[in-house]
Amino acid sequence: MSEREAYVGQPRPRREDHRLLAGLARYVDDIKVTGALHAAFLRSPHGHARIVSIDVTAALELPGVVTVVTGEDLAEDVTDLTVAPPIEGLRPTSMPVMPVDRVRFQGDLVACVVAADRYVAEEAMERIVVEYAELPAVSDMFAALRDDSVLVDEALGTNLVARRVHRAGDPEARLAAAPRVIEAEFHQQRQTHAPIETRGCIAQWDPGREHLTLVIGSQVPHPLRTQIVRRLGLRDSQVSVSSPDVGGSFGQKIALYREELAICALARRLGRPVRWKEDRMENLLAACHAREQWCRTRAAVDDTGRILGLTLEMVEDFGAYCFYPANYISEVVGIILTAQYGIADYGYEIRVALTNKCGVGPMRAPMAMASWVMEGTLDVIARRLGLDPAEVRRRNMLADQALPYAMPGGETLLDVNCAETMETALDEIGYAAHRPHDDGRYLYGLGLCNVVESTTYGSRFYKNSGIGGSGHEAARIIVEPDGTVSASVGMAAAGQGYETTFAQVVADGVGVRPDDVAVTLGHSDTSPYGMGSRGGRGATAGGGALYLCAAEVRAHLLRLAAHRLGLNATDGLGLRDGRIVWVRAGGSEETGLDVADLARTAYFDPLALPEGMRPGLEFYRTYDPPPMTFSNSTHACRVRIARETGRLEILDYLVVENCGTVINPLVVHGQQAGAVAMGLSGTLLENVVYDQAGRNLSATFADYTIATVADIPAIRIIARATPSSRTPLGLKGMAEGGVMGAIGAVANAVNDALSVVGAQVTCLPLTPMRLHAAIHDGIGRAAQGQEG
Amino acid sequence: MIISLTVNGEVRDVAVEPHYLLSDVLRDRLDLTATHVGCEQGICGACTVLVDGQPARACLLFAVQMEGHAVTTLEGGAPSVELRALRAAFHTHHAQQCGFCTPGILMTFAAYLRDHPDCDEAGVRAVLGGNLCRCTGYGPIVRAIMAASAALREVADV
Amino acid sequence: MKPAPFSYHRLQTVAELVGLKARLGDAAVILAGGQSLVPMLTLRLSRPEHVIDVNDIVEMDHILPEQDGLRIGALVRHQHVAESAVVATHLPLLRRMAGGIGNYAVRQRGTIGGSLVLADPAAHMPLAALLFDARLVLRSARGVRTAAYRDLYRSPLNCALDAGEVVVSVCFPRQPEAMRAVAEMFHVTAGSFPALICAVRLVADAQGGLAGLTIVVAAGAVRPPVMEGMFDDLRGVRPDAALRGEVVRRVVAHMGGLIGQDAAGRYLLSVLEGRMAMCLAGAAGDTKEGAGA
Repeated sequence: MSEREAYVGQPRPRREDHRLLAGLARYVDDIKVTGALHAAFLRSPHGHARIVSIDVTAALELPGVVTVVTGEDLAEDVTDLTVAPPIEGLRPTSMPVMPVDRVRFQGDLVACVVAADRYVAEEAMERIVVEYAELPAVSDMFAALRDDSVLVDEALGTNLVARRVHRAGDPEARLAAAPRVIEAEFHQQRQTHAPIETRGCIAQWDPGREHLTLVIGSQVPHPLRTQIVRRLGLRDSQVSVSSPDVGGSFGQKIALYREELAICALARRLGRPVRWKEDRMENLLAACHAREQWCRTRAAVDDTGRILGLTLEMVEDFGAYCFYPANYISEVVGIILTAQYGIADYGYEIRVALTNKCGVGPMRAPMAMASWVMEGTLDVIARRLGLDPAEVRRRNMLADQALPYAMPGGETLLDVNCAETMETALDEIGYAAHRPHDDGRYLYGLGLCNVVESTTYGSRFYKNSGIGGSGHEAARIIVEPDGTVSASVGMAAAGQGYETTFAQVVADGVGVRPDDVAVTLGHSDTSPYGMGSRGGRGATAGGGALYLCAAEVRAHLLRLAAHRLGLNATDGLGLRDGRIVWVRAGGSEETGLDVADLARTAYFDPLALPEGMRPGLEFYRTYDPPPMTFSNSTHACRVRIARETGRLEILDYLVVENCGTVINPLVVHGQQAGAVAMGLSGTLLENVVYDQAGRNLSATFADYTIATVADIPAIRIIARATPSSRTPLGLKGMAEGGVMGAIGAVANAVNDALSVVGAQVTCLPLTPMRLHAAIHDGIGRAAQGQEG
Repeated sequence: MIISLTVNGEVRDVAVEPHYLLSDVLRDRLDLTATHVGCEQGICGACTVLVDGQPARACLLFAVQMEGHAVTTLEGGAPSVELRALRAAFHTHHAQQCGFCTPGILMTFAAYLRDHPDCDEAGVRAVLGGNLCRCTGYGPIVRAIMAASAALREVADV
Repeated sequence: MKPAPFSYHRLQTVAELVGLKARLGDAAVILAGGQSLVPMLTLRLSRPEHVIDVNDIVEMDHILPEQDGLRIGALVRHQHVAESAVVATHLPLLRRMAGGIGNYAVRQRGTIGGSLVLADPAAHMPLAALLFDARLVLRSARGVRTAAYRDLYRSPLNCALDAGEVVVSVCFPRQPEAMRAVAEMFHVTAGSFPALICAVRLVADAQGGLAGLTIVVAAGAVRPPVMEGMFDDLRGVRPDAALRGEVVRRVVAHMGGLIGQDAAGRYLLSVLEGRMAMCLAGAAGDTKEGAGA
């Protein structure tokens, strides 16, 4: 396609930075809308309660209050959300825009006040009188799955919202026949995304044009629009969604949440702009939670540590409402668990429970637990058998020649170099010299975590897993009359640097300079309908679509140039930095034409175009990537745990990474380090805590602690990249694997250290108190690694 | 009530209620939206501005308290040498991703580097502990601040 | 999360403050640094009718070495204490503890008076005031009095001022030459409030024996106890390792009775044991790094 990749691969500082550093960025709440009213939501103080009555009289009397609505009021304007894809074992669920008679978690919606400003709205909220009849709550997923549990959603008749079973080969037979069966358990705590910018939106209804404009920080403007039109009974052409600068999302800004939909409905009902800015307490209580999962593996092994068969049992807590098909997050863990290990006989059983807690959704690396579970299982096997953990990995790892490999979970693994990343990591971390030990003050351990990071998710993945929707992406490129190249895809950035990296891709694809490429994203009217930013698909789906589109632009421009130069064919012509050149051995020679000349012809002198070429220069191209692309990496870290306090110190942390072709090393490095940091923060600190009555005890940043600078060690990243064989430019995607690896590497290192005192931990987060108890009270001793 | 305060070197009269937070008044009444609100509890640090030259959480001040005081936000008139050096270094070192926490960090260190021209990394880390960033993992931020500090010392030596 | 409306009063002098406080009584709260008060107002945990802003009362913003000790105005910011040469000379531990409060921006605003009146059980300044037996200078329409902070600080978040009283300044008594004070803070996570602060004030006699020992520990949600009389029988004994071990045992036993023996309590006590030993060694001059002496 192009003669060379001149700009892909360059560590170019981001063009987004200027506005961010000058204070000129525009996040939702920075956008002024004249006459906009402010909304605030009254939320349930109870984990589970019947709403007996709501009296809004006193609230309405407060000057500045425009309206107060309840679930009953809004039900007239908005249809329910039904999540019912045809997936075996998944029960359909349905919810109204706001609860009508029952609240299911602390923070659930009760009423919405619309007022002149937020201060008035909050005053009014205090004047709403709600009578609740408190109901017993269930805040533990195991309790929720018992027959006698309180029901979270009475319409379901059970809290088991999804149960999925998958079998490849005959794992049970392997377990029955195996010399040894080794069991291991893993429990990941509930977390939340906590972007520093909370949610928020501004809805405007134009009654004359019957058109709704929603400004919202969203990862997925087009799918969000589809949701809105369905729920409000509008047509696609009646809604515009635009996502301005976004202050972090991490998966939290995908779903159409009830608050946002209520704001749209209210704007339409009132005929006035309505805006809402979530506060931090709302964000921690009621936006979206994630990751609360428990896994147990049973491995049939021989005496050399070879896994002969493996089963995974998994339980996930999905909270009170389903914004996504309830199987979807756990299912990916099941699909990719075995990663680069050759295990033919494998099965999983996933159970997903509803509880009286905030609903959950994907959070950066929703399948993050997979690596910890697989690598943790291998460590348990090594410890039980007295073998070297790296050696156990080698014995089970697929040889490079075995790729592509049909994984027992159903996807095909290829383009990974797991042995290379692991051996490099072992050298770099000083594995050979390491032994877990105890110097009297500290316990020392080393942890390894091989990661196969599933990325991109093409349409075939969705089809295979029965989830609705598509994995394709769409690109549009316009060569403007002055020769500027305007490019767009259906993705929306929240710090990933798309404007910079996509410009590099388009520059190479067309043959212009990145500075001549403008990248505009995030507006459903001006971007082509795409699937948005999620699942590590930015580079491959977005970049891939743009690169393919850019190649069509280049071919078109060269045909036009050939005609202008009086040639019949484009042979020998090239595009370099916006100039049409003769490509010669050892260099190029100017033709005197550039893109601006060609654009002038295309727009203003169409009679000079070659026969059959239409005026204008607009291009549209879609691209459906493979069902999954795979990046891989090995994380390794050395830790020490203070005997006195249980505090963990990370002495060395490194990642050896293969994420395919790197568009911009500066940006990729930032994404990788950021992902590791988020993984560490989750592994060490974060914890959404509910008491038995379903009260959330972690609804401020004082209680829900996320990592500060003091918690994150230096992160060494070593590249061992190989391109994908199946995508444009060899792109694969990254930005989630760091989370996966961090959990596994640190947890494995901790258990390596604790093995000195015969203790183990199986629950996150790895707080000093938990580690202290493991060291001194023997808690967790013999809890893991039992032979069954 | 109408209060008069100096914002970014300009005297501004603004109508406020006593319970309006400075962060809201800067953003909503004075259209200075570079000051971001992340937690309204003084923990995340995104809303840090300078009050009479020293960093302060705008969400922990009532606007009415600023009568007769000088507030500086990231938009602030002519940027200080420290702020210019920080901006350049943050760009080079890719020290911001989503950029939401960035204004608070820049304001904090514009003051800190001014008052501590010979700061070391430990000092910078201790101060940065007051700002939450969810994107970068902090490493690039520390490197950028150290680079800005070094650049400022170089200028001072000339 | 927005504060409820209130009436705002901004005063210039202590006299005005005392007059207004007398008039408004409990309907008014005093706004100094606001680093704890404003979040409470924003979360509507507190809904005062009146807020009295004392930030302009410059007569409360001074650090003065006096005959019998160090007087610090109620409005003095933590950062000022942390950078004060006078404090460094007279009470180096106080300077160090001020520098460890919150973060840089919070220290620029937060005041010593506000912190003492709030009486947060995990806060640095109240602990230091308890350790050194600081006295508060209190003014009301009835006049001026001084009272020991140890007497005023009754329970967590309860500094029992009389009606209409305001804190004008705090006096830290002059310390004997042979006094060493050390504190250790333990944070469970880097960004959190300290889960544990232990502080030791040790005075040696001419022979190097124990002339006075005061220990204050902040742990759990209890008012940090001042442990003093329980060491009376140890007077004159050299603070060697054996004696320090005995002190640690008594402190841990005492704290155990206060904070309970659940998992969190057991953990804190275990950490306390190590930290206490470290502090005592520092105060006894038995280590190169006396943490704050």
